[in-house]
Amino acid sequence: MQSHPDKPRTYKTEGVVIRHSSSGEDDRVLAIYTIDYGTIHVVGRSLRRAKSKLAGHLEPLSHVAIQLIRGKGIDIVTGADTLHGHTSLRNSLEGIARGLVCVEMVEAFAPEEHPNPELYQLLLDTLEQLNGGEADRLLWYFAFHVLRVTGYMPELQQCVVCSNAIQPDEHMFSPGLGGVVCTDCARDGDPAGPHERAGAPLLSLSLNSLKVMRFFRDNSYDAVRGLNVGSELAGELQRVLGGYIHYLLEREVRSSTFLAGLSRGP
Amino acid sequence: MTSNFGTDGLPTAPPVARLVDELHKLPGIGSKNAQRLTYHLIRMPEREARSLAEAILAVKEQVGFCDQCQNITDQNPCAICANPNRDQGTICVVEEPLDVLAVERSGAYKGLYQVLHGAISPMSGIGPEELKVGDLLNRLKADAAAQDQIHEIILATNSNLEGEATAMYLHRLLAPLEIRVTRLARGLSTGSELEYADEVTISRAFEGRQDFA
Repeated sequence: MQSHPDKPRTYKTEGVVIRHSSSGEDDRVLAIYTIDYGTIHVVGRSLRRAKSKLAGHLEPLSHVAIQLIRGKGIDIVTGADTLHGHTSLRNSLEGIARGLVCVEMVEAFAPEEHPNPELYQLLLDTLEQLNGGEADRLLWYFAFHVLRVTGYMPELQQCVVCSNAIQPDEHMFSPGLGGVVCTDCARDGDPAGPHERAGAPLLSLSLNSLKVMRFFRDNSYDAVRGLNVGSELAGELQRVLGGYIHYLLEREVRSSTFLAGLSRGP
Repeated sequence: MTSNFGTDGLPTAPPVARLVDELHKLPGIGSKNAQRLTYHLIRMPEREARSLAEAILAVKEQVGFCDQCQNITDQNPCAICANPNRDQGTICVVEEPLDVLAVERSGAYKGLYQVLHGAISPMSGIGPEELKVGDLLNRLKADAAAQDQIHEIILATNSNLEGEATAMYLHRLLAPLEIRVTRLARGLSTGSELEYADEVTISRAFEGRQDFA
């Protein structure tokens, strides 16, 4: 990975550790989502040794202040201090899985070495709230707003085929075109239609789901928390939003699959 | 030896290029290291080179997994499982075969092991199905006598996020069996200084504090 041209030889930043992997004799390569540089990959020397002073600070999901020195290929962590360890989140398997869903989404949607302060703040706020005991509703809110701040917000006001305003009715959702398809355009059923050409089948979208998605888009999490969403509606939202994310990433959010598996029991 | 062009387009003899390619597949070996090792092997006396080649083949031919603990062994059951002097009532669950060596080196534990061959890592797509978790359950469930005999399962997975997730998952899985499940102490390591410890380590150290004896 090419080092960021604007970085001084030694620099400080803060970020959330996304993941780590073993490297060399006892090093670790870390992916960290930072406020100043977006996702960076750095190496932590001897982090796998029991006596490493930095290892405890650089666990995934930790919010850390870090000091780095520019390396030839990859920058090296020289110091780290935990700003928030999200200890409560780590005390349950579901908590860990939810935290990992967040960082995996950020890693997947944020281009490398490209800062996005709004996304950074969204991640911090969400981890903080998950640490405070919030559950899956928050994850959907988070996913929706990751899409918004990274430019993938689905179109919910106009038909993505004919651009007419969406009327209060049952509609379809096109993951390929990234938004709602009105009843008329969906009914045409032309296999060569633009939504088919985009390579993803249409998903049914009830009026209630559309309203909930708009509510998610326009409101803070405090308002969304109080919203009454039945299990059928939640299932539909999960199918539509999950289908859209799957289309964009061309894969599942793996931590999300793991989290869903936990609710089914071991 | 006929001179030819290797896969990198350089005039390398095919057997040399092949060895470079094979060594390059090993973890932590880059292309330069692979070349260096290859030329070292070429200069090595034939006897030593043959011994290395035979050692690699012997490992592949003679070494497998112990049916009971899934550790790497050349006999089945492995030397630890077959040793009647080991405490048959405790199973220490570790992530990797190298962890068994680390625990054995300490001399602090005399029971049996179960090797998972990894840890749960949701982001990398490694779930319980990819680990030898089922083998542990089968070991406990298949043999009622074994289940009666075993009185403690020690979760000795790493003290990092993946290790913790794996321990939590195993704890959940083992709870219905009503066997005592313990976790290795987590907190300050020997020789470490409080000043540099992170908040998770310090909170775990407080949770696990013991009477001063």
